[in-house]
Amino acid sequence: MTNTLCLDPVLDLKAAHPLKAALNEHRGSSVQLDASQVARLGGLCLQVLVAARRAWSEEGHDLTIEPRSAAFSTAAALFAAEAHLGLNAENDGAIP
Amino acid sequence: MDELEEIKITFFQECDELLGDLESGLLSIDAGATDPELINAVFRAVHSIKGGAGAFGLEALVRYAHVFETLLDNVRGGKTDLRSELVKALLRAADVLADHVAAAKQGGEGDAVSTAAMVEELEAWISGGPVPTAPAEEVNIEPNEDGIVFTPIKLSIPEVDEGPKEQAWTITFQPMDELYSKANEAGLLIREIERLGKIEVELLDDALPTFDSLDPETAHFAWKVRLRTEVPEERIREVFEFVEGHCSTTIVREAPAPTATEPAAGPDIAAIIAAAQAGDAQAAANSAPSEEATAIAPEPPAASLPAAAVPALAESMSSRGAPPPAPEKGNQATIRVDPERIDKLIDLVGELVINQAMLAQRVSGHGFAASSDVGRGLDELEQLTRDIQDSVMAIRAQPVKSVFQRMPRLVREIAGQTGKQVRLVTEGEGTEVDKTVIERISEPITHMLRNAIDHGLETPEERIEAGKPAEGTVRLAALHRGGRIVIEVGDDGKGINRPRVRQLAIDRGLISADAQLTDEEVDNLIFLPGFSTAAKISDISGRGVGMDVVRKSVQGLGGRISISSKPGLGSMFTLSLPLTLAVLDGMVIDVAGQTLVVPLTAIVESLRPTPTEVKKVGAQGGVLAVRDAYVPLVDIGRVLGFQTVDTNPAEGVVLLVDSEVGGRAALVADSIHGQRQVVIKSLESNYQQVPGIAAATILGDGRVALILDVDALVAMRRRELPRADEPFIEAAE
Repeated sequence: MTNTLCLDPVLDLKAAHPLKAALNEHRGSSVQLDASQVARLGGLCLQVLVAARRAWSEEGHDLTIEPRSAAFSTAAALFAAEAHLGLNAENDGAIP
Repeated sequence: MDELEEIKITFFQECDELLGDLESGLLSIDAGATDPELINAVFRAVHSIKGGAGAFGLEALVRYAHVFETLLDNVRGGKTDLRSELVKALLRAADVLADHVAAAKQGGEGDAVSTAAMVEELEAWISGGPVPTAPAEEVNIEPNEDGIVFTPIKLSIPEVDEGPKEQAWTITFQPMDELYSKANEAGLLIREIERLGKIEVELLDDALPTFDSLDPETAHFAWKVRLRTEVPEERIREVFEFVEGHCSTTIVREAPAPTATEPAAGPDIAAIIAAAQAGDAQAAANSAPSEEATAIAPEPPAASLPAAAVPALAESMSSRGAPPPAPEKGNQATIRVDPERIDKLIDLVGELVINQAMLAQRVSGHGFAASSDVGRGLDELEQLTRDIQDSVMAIRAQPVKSVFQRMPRLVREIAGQTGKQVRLVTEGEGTEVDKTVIERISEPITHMLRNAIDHGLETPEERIEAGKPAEGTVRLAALHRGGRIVIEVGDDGKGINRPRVRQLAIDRGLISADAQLTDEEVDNLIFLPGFSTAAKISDISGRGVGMDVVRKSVQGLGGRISISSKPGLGSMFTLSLPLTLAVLDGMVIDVAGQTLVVPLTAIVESLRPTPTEVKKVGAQGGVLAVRDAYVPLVDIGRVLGFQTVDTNPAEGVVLLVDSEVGGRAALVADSIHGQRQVVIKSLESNYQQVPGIAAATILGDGRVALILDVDALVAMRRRELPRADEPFIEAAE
């Protein structure tokens, strides 16, 4: 079963701890992150998302980010983190 | 308060300082200063505002600042000549930037129309300046004597100076925790780099721990950005200026690809630099040409190497580790403190002063001699209390620069509106005065400057006709004098038209037609309420627009204002204000059983007159003979209504005071207690305004004492007396 977690609009320093805690609640199952409301993605939350994706993958679960706002996609591209977040179509689900 | 909000407030405070630096830098350049550091400082100011604005997502401000900054960069790079028209344009651009900052502070955006116009002007300067290019000379082609026609053809000659060439740079940066905690973002840095040219970004995630061991607020990611750009290394480094100390950065220029005519002979410069930065000189010497530099230095590299300059490398390496030349401002160690905390401290010190006075009074009441241990201890305590008070007041003291630096813009705007040419000269900007005073002098200064330009200065045509330069000068100066701050606003205009001012005063019923007034008294008529309205006197050479309002607000500050004027040469307003509104040195006196305080700054001397020195004039008035002069007597008790009969000056004490309204006066009191520093407590905020009284204080015995407003008191007395054109003289005879 895939759970859905809606990401906050502002993913900055303050959002990093809550994001990790929220992701932890879905540990052990596949999770789909809804990034459609994200207006700002900062470096610290990016770290949480990338680390989470690795952990989920190692445990044999999926962590997908879908749907995504334009701001989220732009930020991911700016950070060169699309592959790390599994946003590239060909890499979807793969660990970069 | 939200942490981000607090940082934002700090950002806007910094913006105010930076805008001040920007304007003063440009004004210095406008005045002919040629120090290249000035244009660098101006550039840094705009750049810093842009950087901070980016962190808060103030896009409109960033966009505008970017264009402004680009032009400034061209100027400092020598691409654009810094001629006079350009400096004027830059000053206007600074005004628009200030508008943007002010709008952003209120949560809005700067005016789109003025921004668009300014951006267009700036861009015109960036692309070579708005100067029309001269048409190409036409060449007459005629056959020479052999009948051969030479036709000119255009040859493209390779430029000797190739100018800036696109280069590739590898920028590696790793944000530290502080970068994020200071509300900065790695993404903003990448975006800033992107503004400089084409980028390829690589996320370096090797240091990222597992999800379980990840502290979400610890920075682990680094980025490697490959940038292709024409801008110099300096510009790239400036991207990281805001995050200095919060981000490990290396910037390495990639070696140009070897060409057929220029084989790669030496070692790869980029690799040598990287090795040098990593601290391995030997490796630098042996570096292989293809080695890529990826080292992340713990500190931003100190030395920037010139283009492919191998000979300079040794020198560069030897300077490794030296701190980069920090901008001067960075050396000032300052802290930002909430003003409320300082106000609270000042209040507490005020209470301490009162308490110390009470203690002294009680001790003396118990019969301790001043020379006793207790007496000496109290003296020391008093000295210490005073030192603490001075030091605390010094914390709140600010240079008047913060007020003065707003004035050049005002002057430009009024000059623009009136069509006059004005040069503003400021002096004594570093003069310090208490924040409470600073906050309230801006308005009177603004008013006086407006008056000086609008009514004091002539039009360029009139000036030329009068044999003066077309550009008028307005001088704004601040200085300390006699424990007060003096602000002077002078102009070299035509001065007050006294016959006209006198006539206006007569027309308005302010003076009688036959009143005998000195020049000074005529000049001071402009301060009378109801003397003028802007519409009616804007066509005369004098001043007077709302000067009564100015005087009122100055008096409200415990200050005085006076004017001196010379026909044809100009006028000068002089404002004298207390340095602080918190404490006052005063003389404690007794009047009709009341304890009052007279500000020491107003007192010239105190004396006990002999009966022969007192001359009665009329039924109520009197004068005191003081060294060959007669000074009007002012009975404090009667003017304030404490008593109905005048105190005999010969039985009391007289304080000679200087007042702005009526010159020197002799205040009559019953006795003097002594000199004391008192803490001012506002009467208006705690009770209500009382004529003749400036404020109140609490004395050592806990009683409230009123502080006299000497000028108001003298004015009250003058109003009480019959006027010169009324039957007063007859009554006196």
